[in-house]
Amino acid sequence: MDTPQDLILACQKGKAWAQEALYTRYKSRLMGIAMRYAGSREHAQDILQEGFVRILTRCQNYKDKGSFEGWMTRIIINTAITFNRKWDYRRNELPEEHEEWIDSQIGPDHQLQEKDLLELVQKLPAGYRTVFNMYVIDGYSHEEIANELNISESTSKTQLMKAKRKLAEQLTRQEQMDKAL
Amino acid sequence: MKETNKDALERLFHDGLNSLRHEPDPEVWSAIRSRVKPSRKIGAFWIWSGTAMVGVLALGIGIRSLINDPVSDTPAQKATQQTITQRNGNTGNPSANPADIKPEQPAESWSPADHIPNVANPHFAEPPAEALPVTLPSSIASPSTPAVYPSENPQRIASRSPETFVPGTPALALSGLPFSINTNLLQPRPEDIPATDKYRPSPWSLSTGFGASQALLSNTSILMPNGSFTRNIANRNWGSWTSFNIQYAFGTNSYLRAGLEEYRYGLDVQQHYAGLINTVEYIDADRKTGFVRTYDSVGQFSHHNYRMVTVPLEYGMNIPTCKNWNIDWSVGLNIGRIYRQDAVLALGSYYSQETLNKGSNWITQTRISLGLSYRFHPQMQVYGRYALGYSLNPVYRNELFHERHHIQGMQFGIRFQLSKQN
Repeated sequence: MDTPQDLILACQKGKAWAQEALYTRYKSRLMGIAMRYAGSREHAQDILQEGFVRILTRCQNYKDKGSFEGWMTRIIINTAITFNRKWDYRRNELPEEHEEWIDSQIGPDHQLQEKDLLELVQKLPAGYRTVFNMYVIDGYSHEEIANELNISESTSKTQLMKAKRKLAEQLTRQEQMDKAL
Repeated sequence: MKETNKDALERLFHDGLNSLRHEPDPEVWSAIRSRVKPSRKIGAFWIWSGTAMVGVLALGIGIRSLINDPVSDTPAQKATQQTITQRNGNTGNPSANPADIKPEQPAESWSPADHIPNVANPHFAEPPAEALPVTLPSSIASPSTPAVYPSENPQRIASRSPETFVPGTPALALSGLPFSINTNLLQPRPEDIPATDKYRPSPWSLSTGFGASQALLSNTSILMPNGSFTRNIANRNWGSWTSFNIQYAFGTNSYLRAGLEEYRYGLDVQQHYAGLINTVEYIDADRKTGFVRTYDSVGQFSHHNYRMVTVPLEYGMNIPTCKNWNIDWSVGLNIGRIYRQDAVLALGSYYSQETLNKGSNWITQTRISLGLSYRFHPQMQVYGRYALGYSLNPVYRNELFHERHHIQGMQFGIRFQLSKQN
């Protein structure tokens, strides 16, 4: 069994077997990330394909600083950002007071399956989805998001609020439907 | 409390989706693998300069040869030359003085034999479906699509382009494709193009190429360096690329001739350098410039008949230094007719197959082409061709799936051949 270090070294030398082994090892994880950022499975596969090509062609650039998986994750996220770039992050600024509205709508007792959560995220507009994923799940700060998306920090915060508001609406609606049943 | 509520939503999604896993379709890996090809950085300047030098040198020598050796091509002279050829045992040796030999039969009426243009260049009026070079670099095509015209890749064409072998006569010969406009309408389906690709390769390209060959012995020729230059026509929405091909080759080309029948066979071994420059981002920004050195072996056998029925059969083996290989072969049938003034209308049909070691990938294609050429000068010819075909690309990886493509291509151009007897 090859260790990740062996695989990375072999990939950097362009070994085909190592490239395939690397893909086999990480495809599910990277596809999961792509699914969060994409609006559909088809788009997620496009992101994975494009992103993994970049990983394989740029793996010589990877230095032993930080985990390789983290490095791959960033590439997939950057690829997804490129895919979603058509979205205009700057439009429809949301007033700050909406934050209170969002907070008041969310209860702590939601019991949702993974696929339900994914579906909710995928239904978000591309701009909201990207910021929400970066901030909430992948741990980017608003400053980093602003740099990556070439927007201001306040726009990033606004986009996050809008995403959360949409999600809260969806969750509330779903909760009401569950109660009705 | 607010903060807790706010965190609850974030925590809900973070915990639920942080370790999300999904299985991609098997086709994704095949697509990735086909796009990851080793490439080498090159000094594009030197490649370009080398190509240009070869071209300029070939042009200069060619023009000089043309000035020194004007070739007459009247029907009477054709008849004389044919007679000379026959008396010299079909060797094509023009050393005998035409003035000493009187034509036995003046060429009063048209016959296929009249269209042996001249003894120094007996193959000029070949059916265009086989003879015309197609400089459509398959390496430029979307990696997810099969190579275009495997039997007509630039290496093969360049090795074959100096079709200037003169049976029985050591001669220096030059050939060129000063101008050619090509289009390859084989394009990936819109759904196969990633949304991130702002550019797609243009199907249109302009080509120029020059080559030279030296016939050493009575039945052997040696190929000298050839160069070709292809530039696609780009616009705002299309990617653009430029490719270069330079190679030197050694090989034999032999002929058996009996009347109007001719059998040709040859084997060439060559080292081939191909360069590629993408001037805008196309798929992978890291591969704007690439350089591939390959070793090729090319063999061909064909039967030519001046009644214009030919059966070409050829094979090719390509061994790039990136440890990949491919073998291809093709067989075809050309049927055509020579009209007045050497206007040729030919219909060709080909079946070709290519096998690559990467991903157990077989490319099979059939195509039919219609060509028209016209020789307006003894050594210059204009031509046009339209090809239509179907390509099937079975990929055997984790599971079998097929990629199907329709092939359409057009080519128009002008080419010349010059030869000088030693």
